[in-house]
Amino acid sequence: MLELEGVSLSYADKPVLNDISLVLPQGERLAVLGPSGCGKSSLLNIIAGLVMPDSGVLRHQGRSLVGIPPEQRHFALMFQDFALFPHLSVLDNVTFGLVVRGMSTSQARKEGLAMLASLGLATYADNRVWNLSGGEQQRVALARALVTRPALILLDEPFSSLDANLREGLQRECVERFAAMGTSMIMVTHDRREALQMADRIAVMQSGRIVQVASAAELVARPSSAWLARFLGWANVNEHRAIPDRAFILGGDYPPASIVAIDYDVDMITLTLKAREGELYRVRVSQREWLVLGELKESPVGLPLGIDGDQVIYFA
Amino acid sequence: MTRRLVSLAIGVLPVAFLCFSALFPVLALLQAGWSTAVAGLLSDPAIQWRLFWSAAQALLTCMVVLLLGIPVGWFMARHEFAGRSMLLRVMMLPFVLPTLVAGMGILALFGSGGLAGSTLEETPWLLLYGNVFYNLPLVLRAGIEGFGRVPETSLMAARTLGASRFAAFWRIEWPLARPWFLAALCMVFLYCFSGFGLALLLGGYRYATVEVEIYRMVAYELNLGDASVLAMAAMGGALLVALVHGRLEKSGARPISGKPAPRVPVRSLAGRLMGVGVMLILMVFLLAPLLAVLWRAVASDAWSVWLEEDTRLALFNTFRFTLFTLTGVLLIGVCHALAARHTVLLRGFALLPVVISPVCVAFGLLLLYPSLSASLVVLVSGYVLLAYPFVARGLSASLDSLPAQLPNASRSLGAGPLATFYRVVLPLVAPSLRRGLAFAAATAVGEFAVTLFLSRPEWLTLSTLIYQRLGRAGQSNIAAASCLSGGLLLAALLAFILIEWPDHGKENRA
Repeated sequence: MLELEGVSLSYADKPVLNDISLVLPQGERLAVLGPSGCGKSSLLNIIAGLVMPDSGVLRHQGRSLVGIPPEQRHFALMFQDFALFPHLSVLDNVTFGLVVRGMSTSQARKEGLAMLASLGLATYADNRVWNLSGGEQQRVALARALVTRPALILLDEPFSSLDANLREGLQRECVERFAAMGTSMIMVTHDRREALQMADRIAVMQSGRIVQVASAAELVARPSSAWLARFLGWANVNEHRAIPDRAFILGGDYPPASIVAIDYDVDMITLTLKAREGELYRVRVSQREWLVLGELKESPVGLPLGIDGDQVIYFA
Repeated sequence: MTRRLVSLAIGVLPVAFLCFSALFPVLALLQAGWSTAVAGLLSDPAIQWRLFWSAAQALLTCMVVLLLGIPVGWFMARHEFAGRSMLLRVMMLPFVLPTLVAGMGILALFGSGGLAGSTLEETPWLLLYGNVFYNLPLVLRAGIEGFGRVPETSLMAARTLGASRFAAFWRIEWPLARPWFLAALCMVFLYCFSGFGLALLLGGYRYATVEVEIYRMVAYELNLGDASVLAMAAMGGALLVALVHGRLEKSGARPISGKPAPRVPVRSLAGRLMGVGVMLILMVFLLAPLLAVLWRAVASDAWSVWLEEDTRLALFNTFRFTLFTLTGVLLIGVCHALAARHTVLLRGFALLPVVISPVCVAFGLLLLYPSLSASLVVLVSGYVLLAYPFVARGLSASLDSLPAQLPNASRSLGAGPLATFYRVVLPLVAPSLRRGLAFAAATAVGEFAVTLFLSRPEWLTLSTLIYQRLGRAGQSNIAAASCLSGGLLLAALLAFILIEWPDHGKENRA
């Protein structure tokens, strides 16, 4: 289990990460989703031990990671540009992590070849890495990471330089391998599809903060803010300020009323309304029903519906 | 087709010049050497020692600059600190510094009566120190470039895969930077192996190089046959290393992609200590000789030397030769660069003057054109041959990097070919042209080997005057030489400022 508590980082007085706390049970796959520049790569580098946080605690299997250099953490990192060593052959790339940890060359060679074979790369063992295609390079990088049997694999936008077909195949392959080996995964990405496809849970980051951690289904059903809904690809997001006594719900069978409170469940929303006459009552609406808001009379707004502070969000 | 013809026509001038000033003289050397008893000369132990020592001092220099260059280059490539860019600029200084000035600086430190107290004359150390002074910056620039290109993610991957900092350096950074170092070391070997001025000044009798021996044979013994055999041997060795260099460049060329590792501020104690070490190395091997020259010049108290008749002649000649050289360099360099855009072979020719040492050039010219030996044409062609590659190569590079759309855009906006050249192309290549010309000027001002070889009393230049003064007995002559060196150093500084002057609008283009 990996735990992060109150991790903060700033570069030149500019906050990059702000009080990040996360728990990752062993074997879980977590995606950190966010736009570029939100600090997600810095978070990954902190976990890998390449960057020291300004404050906060990291623990792995109950052991503090403070002051542990990256080579002793036993987490493998995979990159968007694959980061294969250009001066080494495919096999030497794969055995690098074994050799520097002191394994004998012959044993490392054996394990490296076995790993390459299991990924269907055996014939490339003696190739130069720059002759390989992007997909092949990333598979070599995967072999290089897996062969050291890391407790945790960290992926930094690993598939974004591959074309779509290749990407899906490799994503599946990674998920299967990680599951088979019981390896935890943290992947940072800006691609919501990738996150939804590969992760058990998704942590969404926005300007250095984690704004929501949820399973894929939950995240899609209930994004916690309009920003997140847009980021998740909702094409039509309307924001409306719900000022008590001002916003009215029209249409349907309901009399004109202002919203007092909104509570929501996975597929039902409970609105506490106040009618003109001053009477409070509750309405439960399912996602399939339509609500029409006072000022938006001409454009019917659909559900689901979210709330962000005093902003009410309608998704059509 | 017409384009090709035009470029061929432009190429005629540089090719003809190269034939006249480099190829034919070398052939003349070969011919003269051929008819000499080679075996007898090469079995002479004195000659064997000369050849051995030339290679050995070059190799020793390579080892020293490599040992110093790796840590300093790594430190400068990975760290950001106050004065870093200034330091990078100062490292350019030796490239424009006349050999004689550096030699004077080193003598001022470790010669008889030098600042260090004890003399190292007639030991190999003086020459090695001079070699390191000139070649350390070369290796450092290569090393900073090489280490600077190591991708950030390669280092991160290595660390997370279990490599300690040192293992990551040894297994990733060093192998990736190695081709840069090796290429630079080849050049270092070439420069040292065919070095003349430093060896003449600092080598004494025993530790002089083959080139000095060639000069002695020609100037004092008039033994042209043996001298041409030695010249052939020297050129053969240089050619061999040049071929190795080409081979290395080819085999070492592996595509390195990815964002280079960023430079970080020096924070840890180890980093600070290393920084102090780096500064010490640069102080001792780079700045000390320069400061010594200045100190000697100021303390010499021989300012009246500037008013002497000889000095006036030398100043006039230096100025005159530099002017002639720059004219030739501009003409041939620009033609060469323009023609080389479409002719790959011509690009290779720009390296010719690196392989053929100044001494061999001068000797070949002397052999081939005995009737012209008193003619300024021969002297100036020697100068131009040594200086024009700076302009040709720099201009070639900046023409290559000029996007083809820019001239096209200019043409489509209504500018004719001439207007396009004047308003678009020229302003964009002007900085590299200026830099190339400044290098050429520095070469001409400090030129020593060719002038000495073809020496005639009326062709006295500042550098040969310094050498003459050093050869004469008496403290006053040394003081005069020191003072003149100071003047030459200032001229080099002027060239240096011209080279490093910030380009207008450079930021916008980057």
